[in-house]
Amino acid sequence: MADKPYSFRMDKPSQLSLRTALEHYLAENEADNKSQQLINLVKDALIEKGYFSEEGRQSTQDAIAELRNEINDRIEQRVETSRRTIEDFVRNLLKDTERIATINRASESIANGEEIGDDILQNILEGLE
Amino acid sequence: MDYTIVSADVGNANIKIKSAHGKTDFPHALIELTGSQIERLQMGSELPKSTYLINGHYYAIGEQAVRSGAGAARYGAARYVPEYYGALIAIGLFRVLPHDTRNIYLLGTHTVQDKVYKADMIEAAKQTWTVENQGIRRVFRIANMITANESDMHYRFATLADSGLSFRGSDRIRRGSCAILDIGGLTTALSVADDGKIDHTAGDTRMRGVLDALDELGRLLRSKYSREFKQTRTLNPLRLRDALMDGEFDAGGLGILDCAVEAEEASNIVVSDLLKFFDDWGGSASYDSVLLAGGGGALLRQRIQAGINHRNVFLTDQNIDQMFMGAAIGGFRTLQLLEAKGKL
Repeated sequence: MADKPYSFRMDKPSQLSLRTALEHYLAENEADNKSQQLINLVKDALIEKGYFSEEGRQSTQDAIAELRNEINDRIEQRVETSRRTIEDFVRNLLKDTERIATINRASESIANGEEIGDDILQNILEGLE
Repeated sequence: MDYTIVSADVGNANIKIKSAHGKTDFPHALIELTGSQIERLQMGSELPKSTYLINGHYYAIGEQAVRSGAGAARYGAARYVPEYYGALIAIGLFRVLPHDTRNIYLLGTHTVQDKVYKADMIEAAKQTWTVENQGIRRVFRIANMITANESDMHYRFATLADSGLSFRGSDRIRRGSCAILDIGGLTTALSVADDGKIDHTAGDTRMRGVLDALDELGRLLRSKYSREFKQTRTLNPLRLRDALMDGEFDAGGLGILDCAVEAEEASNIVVSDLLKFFDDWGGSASYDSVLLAGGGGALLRQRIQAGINHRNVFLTDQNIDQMFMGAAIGGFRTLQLLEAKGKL
């Protein structure tokens, strides 16, 4: 398995990057049909769960726990072929998703164009020595 | 006057410097080499990369410094002298300025408790530095210097856009009261901002940082996997960082080693102190938002978020590596703003 082909760019966490990363993974990874089927299920589950909706953001930990159980169930139902590959993929996917979900909620770092006012400038100057 | 602006965050764990040409960080450890040490080094074809000749004196940084003798890492007032703080700044300038630069305007950050040493900081840094490394020689003159509180600069990093001229980030950290929790390598600081303005009369520091957690995790991992790490001298610090966040240590050829319990235990050393510190300053009910800053804020964010139980917890940036550099970048954006407004 290539080195994290599905890694998400930490500076662009969005639903689009999740989809793109998953598509990239599917395109790059030479998984067999069964692996692909499972990965598709994971992909659908992640997106259907609304990770990036307001509700998803507000109950991230619950959603992740629920999703982890669901994925574990599905892995159990699958054959052993490529099991390790899939487990690695899912584990890293969840790890990255947890990071993104937290960061997505915690940071809205987009320049909003609003100019710095004189009151803030004054406050900055007062803080410098 | 035209200045070249540079910002420096000489932290207790790492030195972070930012200029328009780029940014650098290197470990906080520096020692002046003795005559015999220099002779030994000069027997090789080339001096090691971590050796710098500064104003005629040889210095080693990082691991080489630690190996070269005691006193390589200084803290508090002892470090604000030209041969330590000044030399570290000179090395940082060498790494972020590609040419001789005569008109440098430097912003240096300090912790709340080190504010009393601001005159020493300026006296230690504000001079001409001739730096040589790997056959390259550059001259820098620090023409002007100001100092600022480290956690204030983290807040500016979170709220000022790249050019320093406009805002960025969520309105929620610029409206109402915001507690800024800056978890560095060895210290944790708290500052308060009201409606985007920092309360310069408030703020405190505690001697506890994320390096305490990383050291503890390293010890616990070595104890749990003593057989696996028998031949391993040092655990890769970047992998330790990831392990603290994820509870899994990527041991390369040895595979992924579970350390969820150990990561939790190691993190608790810092998180429990931080929660008490935050409570001493009023806790969640006293602030509309909480901003987590610094490398420790990045690494421990999930555990801190869970612990402080506040609805509006933010990070200074969505890129964890940038969070480590937050005070230096915030300082640089502050200088950009001042320069644009004619306030330098």
